[in-house]
Amino acid sequence: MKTQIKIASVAVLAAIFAGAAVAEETKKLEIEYPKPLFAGTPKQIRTDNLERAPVEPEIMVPAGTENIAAGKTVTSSDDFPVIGELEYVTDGDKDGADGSYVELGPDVQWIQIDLGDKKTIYAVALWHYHAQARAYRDVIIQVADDADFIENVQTVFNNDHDNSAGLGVGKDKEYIETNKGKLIDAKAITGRYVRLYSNGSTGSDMNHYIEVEVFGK
Amino acid sequence: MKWMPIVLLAIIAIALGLRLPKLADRPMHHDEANQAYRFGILLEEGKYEYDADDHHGPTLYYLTLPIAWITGAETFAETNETSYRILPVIFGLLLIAGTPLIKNGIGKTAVVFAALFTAVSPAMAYYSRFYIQEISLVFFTFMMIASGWKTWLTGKTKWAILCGISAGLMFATKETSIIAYAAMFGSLIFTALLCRRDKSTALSDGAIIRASNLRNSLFALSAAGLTAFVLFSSFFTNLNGPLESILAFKGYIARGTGVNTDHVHPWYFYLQMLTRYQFEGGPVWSERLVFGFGLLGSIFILLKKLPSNIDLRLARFLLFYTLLLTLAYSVISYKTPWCILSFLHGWILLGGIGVASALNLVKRGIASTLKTALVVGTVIGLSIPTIRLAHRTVFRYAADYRNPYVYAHTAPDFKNLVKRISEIDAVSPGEKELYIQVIADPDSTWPLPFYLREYPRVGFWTTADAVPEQPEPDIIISSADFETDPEKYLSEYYALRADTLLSIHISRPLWDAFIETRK
Repeated sequence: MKTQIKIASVAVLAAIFAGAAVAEETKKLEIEYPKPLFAGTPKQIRTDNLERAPVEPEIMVPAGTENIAAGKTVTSSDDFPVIGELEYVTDGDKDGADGSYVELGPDVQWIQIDLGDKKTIYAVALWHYHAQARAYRDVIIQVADDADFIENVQTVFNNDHDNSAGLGVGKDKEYIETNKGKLIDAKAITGRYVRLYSNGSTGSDMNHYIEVEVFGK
Repeated sequence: MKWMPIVLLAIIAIALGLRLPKLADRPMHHDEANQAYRFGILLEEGKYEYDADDHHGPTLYYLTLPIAWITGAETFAETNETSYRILPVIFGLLLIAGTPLIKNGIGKTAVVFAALFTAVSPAMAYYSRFYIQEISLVFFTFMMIASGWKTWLTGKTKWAILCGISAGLMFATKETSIIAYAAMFGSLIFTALLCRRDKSTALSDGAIIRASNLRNSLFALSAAGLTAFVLFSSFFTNLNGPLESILAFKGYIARGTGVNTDHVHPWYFYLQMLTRYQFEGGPVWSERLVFGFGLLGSIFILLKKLPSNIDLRLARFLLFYTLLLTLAYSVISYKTPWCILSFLHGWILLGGIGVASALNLVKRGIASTLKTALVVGTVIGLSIPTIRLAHRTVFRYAADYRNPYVYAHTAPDFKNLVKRISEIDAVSPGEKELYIQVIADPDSTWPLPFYLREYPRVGFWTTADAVPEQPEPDIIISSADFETDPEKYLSEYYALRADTLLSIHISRPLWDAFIETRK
C-alpha cells in the first residue's frame, strides 16, 4: 500500500511539474530580418521636371472670383533674396526653370502679399519649386488684417507636424512639389495680408517660391 | 640646405587641411555605404569572397582592417564614417609623399610642383575623402610606374618586385587597371619608337636590354600574379576568386560599351571637368591649373626643351601614357566622375614637368632671378584660387548636386532622416530596440544599412507584399509613393538623392511621445 501511495504521489508531482513546464514554455517571437540587397552605383539624374498626379481639391467659388494677388507687392523675412526677386512671386510666371523663382535664405522664412484691401479669400495656390521632387517643410499659410500679423490671424494651412517653426503643430500633410503646385481651400476667410512660411526642403535648407495665387474678391 | 623635404611637408600640410577635417559631415554615398557594409561582414565574420557583380577587387576591404584594429572596432556598429574615409585620406597623402620616387627622372622642381598640384586639385582632394577604390588605384598605378622606372634605371630586383606587387594591387583594387596597363604598354611602344629615331635618347642608354632586366621582368610578373592571386582567393580560402576576377571582364567589357549600364555619358564628359563645368547657376569648376600646366609640359616634351635633370624617356612615357589613358576613358561609353583621377594624375606629373621646364627657360639670359620669381609667383598665384575651389568642393559643396564630383550622391537632407530615427529611439522604451521595416528597391535602400547599423531589428524588403503582417513595426522607411494608415503612422518625406525621396512612417504612440518633448 505504501509503495502504491509513493507511486501515486510521484505521479501527481510529476504531472504538476510537467504542467508547469508546459505553461512556462513560452519564448520571445524572433523575427528573421532580411538583409539588404546590393546594388551598383545608382543612376545620376540631374534634371527631371516632374509630372505626378497630386490630389487636387474641388473648390467651389462664387462667380467673379479671381487671382487677387496678381502683381501685388511682396515682402519677405529675407530682405536680400539669394537668387531672383520677390516680384517673381506674383508675376504670373509658373515655369520651373532658373529665372522664375526667388530663393530666400535658410531656416524658417516667409513671404507676405499685401492684397491692398480686406478681401474674402476662397483658395490659395502656390508653387515652391518643381524642377526636382522636393517636399518643403513647415508650409504654413496665414491671413491677417495687419502687416505685423497681430489682428485677426487665421491659419489656412499648416503641415508643421513637429512644431519646428514654433507656430503650433499642424495637421496638414507634407506634399511633393510638382508643376501643378498646391491648391488649398481657404474657406472664404477674410483678411488683407497673406503670409506663407517654409523651413527649407528635402532639397536644401533654402526656401523657394515660383508663384502664389490668391483667389478671392 | 635640403629644401625639398621642407617644401613637401608644407604641401602635405595643405593636403591634410583639405582632406582630414569634417570627414563625417558628408552623408555616405550609396557606394561608400555598400562597401562599408561588405567590410562589416569581413570584420565580424572574417569572411570575404570576391563578387564580380557590381563590386570591385578586395584591397579596399582588407586595407580597412588595420584601421578597425587600431580604432578598436570589433563590429560593424562600432565603425563610423571616419573609420572608412581615413583610408582614402592616407592614400591621398601617400600619393603626394611618394612623388619624390621619380626625382631621378623628372627632377626636384617638377616633383615639388607635381606634389603641389596633387594636393590642391579639387578632384584629388574630393576623392581622397571618399571610401571607394579610386585614390588607392591611382597610388598603386603611380607606384608601378615609379618602381618600374627605377628598376629599369638601376637594374635592382627589389624595385622589380615592388613594381610587380603594385601591378597586382592595381588589379586587385579595380578592374579598370587593365586600361592603365594598356596605356603603359602603348606608351612604352611609342616611347621606344621615338627613342630609336632619336639617337641622343636611345633606350639602350638605360638597361632595358640587359639580361638582368629580363630576370627582373620575370620577378615583376611573378610578384604581380602572386599578389593578385592571394587577394582574389581571399588568402587561399576561395580558389574560384582569381578565375572569377578574369571571367568578370565579360560583363565589364559590355558595360564599357554602354550595355546594361545607366552610366553612359558623352565623350567630352571628362574634358568638361578638366576645362569648365557649371550646372544650374552653381559655381564654375575646373582642373585648369593642372590641365594648363600639363599641356605646357607636353609642349616642352614634344619640343625636347627640358631641363637636364628631366629624363626625356620618362617624360615621353608619361606624356603618351597620359594621352592614351585620357583618350581611352573618353572613348569608353561608361563614365563615372571618379574615373578622372587615373589620367588626371598623369596631367599632374606633366604639369610638374611644365613648370620645371618653364623655370629652366627663364633661367637663361638677363634678369633670370626676376623672371624665375615671376614664374614661381604665377604658379603659386594660380594655385590659390584652386585651393579655394578645392575647399568649396570638399566642404560647402561636398554633397551638392551642382558639384561635378557629386554623382548620384546621398542628399544632405538624408541626415535629417537619421536624426529623426534617433529622436524617436530616444522616446522609445528600449535603446536601439526599434523594429524598423525598410521597403524599397535596392537602388533606393543605400546608405540606410550603414546608418541603421546600430539597430539590430531592421529588415529590408523590396516589396510590401513580402513584409510579415505581425508584429507591426515602429518605423517604416519606404519609397515616397508608399502609403500607410494615417491613424497608425505619421509620415514625413526626406531626400535620399537630389531626385529621389524616401518616406518615413512613425507609429503614432512613438510620434505622440516625441511631440510631447517638443511642446
